[in-house]
Amino acid sequence: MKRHGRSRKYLWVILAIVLLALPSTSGFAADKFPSKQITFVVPWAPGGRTDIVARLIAPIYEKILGQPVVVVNKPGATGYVGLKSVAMARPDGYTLGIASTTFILSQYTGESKIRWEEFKWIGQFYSTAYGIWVNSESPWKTIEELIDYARKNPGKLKHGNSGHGALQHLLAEGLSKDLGIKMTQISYKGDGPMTVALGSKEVDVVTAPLVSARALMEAGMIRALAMASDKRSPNLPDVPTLKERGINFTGEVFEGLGAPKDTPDETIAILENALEKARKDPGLGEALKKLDVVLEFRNHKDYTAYIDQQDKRYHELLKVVGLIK
Amino acid sequence: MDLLHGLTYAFSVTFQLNNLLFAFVGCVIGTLVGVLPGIGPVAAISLLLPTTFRGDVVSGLIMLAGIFYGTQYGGSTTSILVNIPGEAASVVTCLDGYQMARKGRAGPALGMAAFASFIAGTFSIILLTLVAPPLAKLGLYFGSPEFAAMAVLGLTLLTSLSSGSMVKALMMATAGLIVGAVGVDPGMGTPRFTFGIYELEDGVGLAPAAMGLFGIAEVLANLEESLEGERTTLVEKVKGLLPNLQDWKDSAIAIIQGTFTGFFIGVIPGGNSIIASISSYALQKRISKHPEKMGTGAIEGVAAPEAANNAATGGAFIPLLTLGIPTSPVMALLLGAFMIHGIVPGPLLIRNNPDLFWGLIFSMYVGNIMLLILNLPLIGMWVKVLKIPYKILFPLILLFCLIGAYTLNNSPVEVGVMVFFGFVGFLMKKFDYEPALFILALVMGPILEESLRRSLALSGGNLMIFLHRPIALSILLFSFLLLVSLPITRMIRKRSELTSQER
Repeated sequence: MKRHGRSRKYLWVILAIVLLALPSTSGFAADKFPSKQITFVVPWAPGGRTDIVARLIAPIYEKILGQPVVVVNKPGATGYVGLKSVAMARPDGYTLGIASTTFILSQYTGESKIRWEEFKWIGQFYSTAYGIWVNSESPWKTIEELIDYARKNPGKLKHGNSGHGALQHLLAEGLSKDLGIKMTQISYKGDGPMTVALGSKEVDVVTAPLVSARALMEAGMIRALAMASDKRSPNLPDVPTLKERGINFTGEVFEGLGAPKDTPDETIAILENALEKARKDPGLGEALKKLDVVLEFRNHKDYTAYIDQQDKRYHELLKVVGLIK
Repeated sequence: MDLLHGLTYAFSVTFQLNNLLFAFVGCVIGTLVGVLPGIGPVAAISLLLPTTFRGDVVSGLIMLAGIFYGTQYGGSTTSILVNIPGEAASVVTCLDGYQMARKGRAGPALGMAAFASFIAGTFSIILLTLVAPPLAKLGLYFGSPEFAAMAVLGLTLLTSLSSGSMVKALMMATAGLIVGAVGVDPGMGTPRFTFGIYELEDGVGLAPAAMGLFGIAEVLANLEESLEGERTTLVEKVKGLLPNLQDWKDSAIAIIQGTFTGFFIGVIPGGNSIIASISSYALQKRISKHPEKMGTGAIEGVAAPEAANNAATGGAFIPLLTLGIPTSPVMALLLGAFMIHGIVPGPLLIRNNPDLFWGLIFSMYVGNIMLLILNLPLIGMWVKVLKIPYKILFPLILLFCLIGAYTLNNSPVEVGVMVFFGFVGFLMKKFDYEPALFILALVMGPILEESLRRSLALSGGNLMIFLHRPIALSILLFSFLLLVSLPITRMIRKRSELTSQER
């Protein structure tokens, strides 16, 4: 009996300590922002482009803001899981999410009910353009030749995309509609297998950003026929843009930082300034250049306007190509 | 750069002190990660990825590779000791390894796992060094029909893994296929069986399901047993710390077979250490002199899959280094690490960055030696863990599993999945259903579906595509032969028993 009594006393002591400790974890951050750790939520598994960029920017952000910045991966449901957790987080500026064009698409194609208006967008990290790639041993040396072939052989051209309803799929379909051609879409899980399939000639053409295609391009196995951007890519100076060839179509993926909708404007302004400073860091510029992403920065106002515009564009495009009703 | 040149160059790179240090750190972290259930190489490598940004790229990649290798060694430790696969490829090691531990032979099991891993790992690196470029091209011949054929082969081999009733085995495999369908339809993008739970859109996680079916279920079963009996520890007596001569004799063929099977599967895009360990185990059962012993604690059942999963690791580097094709999530991470440093792996890697290529390869030799030296003395310590009173051990096991399941993706849903499968697994144990088959079908099913549907999309709906592709066709024929050989050999055996009885 006595033994029971003693261990029960200990139990209360431990319980008391735990209860006392709990409130202090919520942070007495009543002082200047930021005064404790900031979290970047990456809604993808580690190792992907979003993750790598986030991990490159985090330490620089940390230096500027003077607080630890931690990258956390919350993958699932094409980015929905991670972004939902950010939208529902406390709007105190300590939980930030990274969203890209894919997020815009998933508003309509997935079952996620989360809208871009539920975030306050701090700023854009980068944008990277997509190119149209074919196997090096294929007979098409220019984009016109490819389109010509597609026109004469509807449905015969196999286009590999990185996921049904994902950006590559959508862009290829949009382009097809504009050009009046028909390609057969073959879906892969992600840029990697898709590009490999082009290398092994399983598909005839893919739409991919340079970073995904670089390895096989340098090996001489695939080549780019055109870029779907406004200007030529500095890494591919010999590849024309679609615009140069009279095709008014651009497709690019962008990525940026967002916070829950109710985050106060002053906090957003601090985060935005830090992002602008981080973008000027030369080390970051070098690293991102190696990844073939263009460090295009847009501030809070411009980014929000840009997202609105992209949202309308892609919503329309999804309807036009028949991916949604 | 010819081979000798390359090797001497590699020597000079690897034996720099800081590279050795990084290799060692990687191995230690990897072993720890492998031992802790749930935290797999993907999580560990991604956490440490940023630390490689600032330093020298060769050292950083050597460390990451060390982590990858280390996890293969560490994963088998928990499989053997407490029937929890430290990471997915160690599931098969649970089958015989844990049984050996229960019989008090955890030491030899751990030792053989370490030795088999070492021999296979080293050998696969030798193979890698010799045949990297030509083998890399092989990867390009593997398209969707070949992946589908491989998945069919894998599913066929599954049936060889069962030691009990065939009907129950097939039921488990079918259940695995069904649960594998949970997620998003690969061709149409619509969710299936997710019941509105968004986290399930990526499917039922392999790690939480395995941890539940194997680990939690085992704890529940043991608890039930201790309620009835008097057992306070998991194992009564521990016999020996290292494999004896008989063990080596029994395992020799298993190791050789595991090495080749594992390496070959690792090289093929889409092949990974899970498939390698399954195939090796199944193959071993076919060629073993005592197949009925496998599943009850035969040391060859530990040696074969352990050799295979380490050999597959070596093989998996080939597509990455020579073509820039990552064949698994870990390889994708390593690819990311390369790219951050502006290095593009591919056919030009050997020419442009010979120090990286050869340094990395050679560090793997060294890493394997380090891991063997690290793991052998630890066996004595691990075996003592089994002697901890179960009432203290089992809460710790549960704790590690819960933490592990959460840290996978920072998601409570995965913890829920694990607990769910824990209860299901307990019931399965009571009624003699084998969880290994479920897990393996869970992995293979989606691969088969995706590749098959894509193959049909490519051919315009025509199944004849399989007849037109020689590699896919031969794999399918082989699977068919395997499938029919089982009942035929049984018939032959029965016949010869009858005729010998008549005499």
